[in-house]
Amino acid sequence: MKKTSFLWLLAGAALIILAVLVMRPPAWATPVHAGQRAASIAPEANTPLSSNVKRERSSFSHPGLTSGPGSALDETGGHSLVADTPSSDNCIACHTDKKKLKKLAREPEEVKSEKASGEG
Amino acid sequence: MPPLEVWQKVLIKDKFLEKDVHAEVGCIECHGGQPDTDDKDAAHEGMVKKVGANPAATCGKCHVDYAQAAQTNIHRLQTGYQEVLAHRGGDFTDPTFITAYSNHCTGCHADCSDCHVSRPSALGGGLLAGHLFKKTASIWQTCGGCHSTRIADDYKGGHEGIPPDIHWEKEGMLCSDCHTDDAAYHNGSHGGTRYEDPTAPTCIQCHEDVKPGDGIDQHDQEHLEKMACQTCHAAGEYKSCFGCHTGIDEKGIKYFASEPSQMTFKIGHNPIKSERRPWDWVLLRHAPTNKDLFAYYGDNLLPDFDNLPTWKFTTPHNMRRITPQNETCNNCHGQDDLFLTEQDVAPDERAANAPVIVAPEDIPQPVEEGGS
Repeated sequence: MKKTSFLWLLAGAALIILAVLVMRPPAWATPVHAGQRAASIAPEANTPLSSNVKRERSSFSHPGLTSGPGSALDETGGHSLVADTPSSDNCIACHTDKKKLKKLAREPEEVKSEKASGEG
Repeated sequence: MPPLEVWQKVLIKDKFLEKDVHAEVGCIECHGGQPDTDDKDAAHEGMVKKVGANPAATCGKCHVDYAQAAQTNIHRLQTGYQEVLAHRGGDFTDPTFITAYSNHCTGCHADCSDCHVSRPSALGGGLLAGHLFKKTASIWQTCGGCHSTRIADDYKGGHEGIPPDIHWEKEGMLCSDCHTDDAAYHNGSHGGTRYEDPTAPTCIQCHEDVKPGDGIDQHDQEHLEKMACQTCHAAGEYKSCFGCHTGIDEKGIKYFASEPSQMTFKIGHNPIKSERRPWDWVLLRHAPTNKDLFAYYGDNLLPDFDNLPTWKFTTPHNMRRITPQNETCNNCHGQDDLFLTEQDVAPDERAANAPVIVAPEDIPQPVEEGGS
């Protein structure tokens, strides 16, 4: 009898451990953590602007970015998005419109010295 | 390379938006700018045009390993330029020297986007294929865009009378087939020039059957040990550039002026002999440099100019099995014109080139044809 109880106890414990593992995978197995580990290889990447894509999407800040709906001041006083990144609709609408681009696109004035010569 | 109209440079293709994973992050995430306006100037305020210039903050968010490599990337940092100029006595702590270097040398720097999204900025930029990202850089528009007259033209047979490289003509091989992902253009952690890259390609990596006794008479121990492959297998002349003078004109515009280039074929002594390049005889090409390179900015800014030859080690990309110089023994032996002798070198460059100049008595003498 004692042996049977012990076996039942062991089976129960195994079931609980299995349930925990299935419902909550270990931290090292999550994509976010894996990304963080990879990012830590790159010293340049250890900046507020980077780490991994998933985190970046929720706390992105850019020097040229203004605050908009869903944005908030971050610790450095800059704006960081707490929702998704802003819509690119305006950019895409123009940059896929050949007629509009032909009308609006301007080459920066080429500045070449008259003294320049030879092959680069 | 045909120039692009300005609108073509910035036209985004539907295919990019529909199929390229990079489109999923949206324009603003990488380029910044103002999303809430359709006014051109207002929308571009604060926009980052060259996203790849800061790989850790952009490309490196996903491509972490490449962002790491970018920290030592030879194309991005131009370590080769710096190594050579420092060897000639250039002082990178001297503000005058740094000004000269920054004004005239850094324009050829290339970052991730210069190869994988657009044409190199140094060539005027412009999206390669409507913003589609190219994993393999375009052989003619990116690699060959910058390395044009001294590599791409050799490779595709762009020099009159000289055939293309057999690797292109017969096999259609791309740059990346030999210059693989490990090489200096991604990871230049070896520092210095590309010749210090331990992963740089060698002919023997593919042609491992080339060895004494392989059935080719000239592949004897002596020829194989003493001569770089190109010495026999470069199909003809390749381009040498001479002189380069830099300055700022009356209007304040920076410029450089080089002397007319010449097609040359010169065999000389190996200036970079090493375990990887142990040969005595190699091909040499004149680099676009001279003692007065930075004379506009000050006197003697390259005080040790003679430390390095101006005729430098080269590997022309016009390789063929049979070439004019290897058709017979005496197409090379006794052919003084093929060798870099003192008379080929400008008097004020002879000291710098002493290690590579071939003395007349060192030129291999004619042999009796029919033997080995």
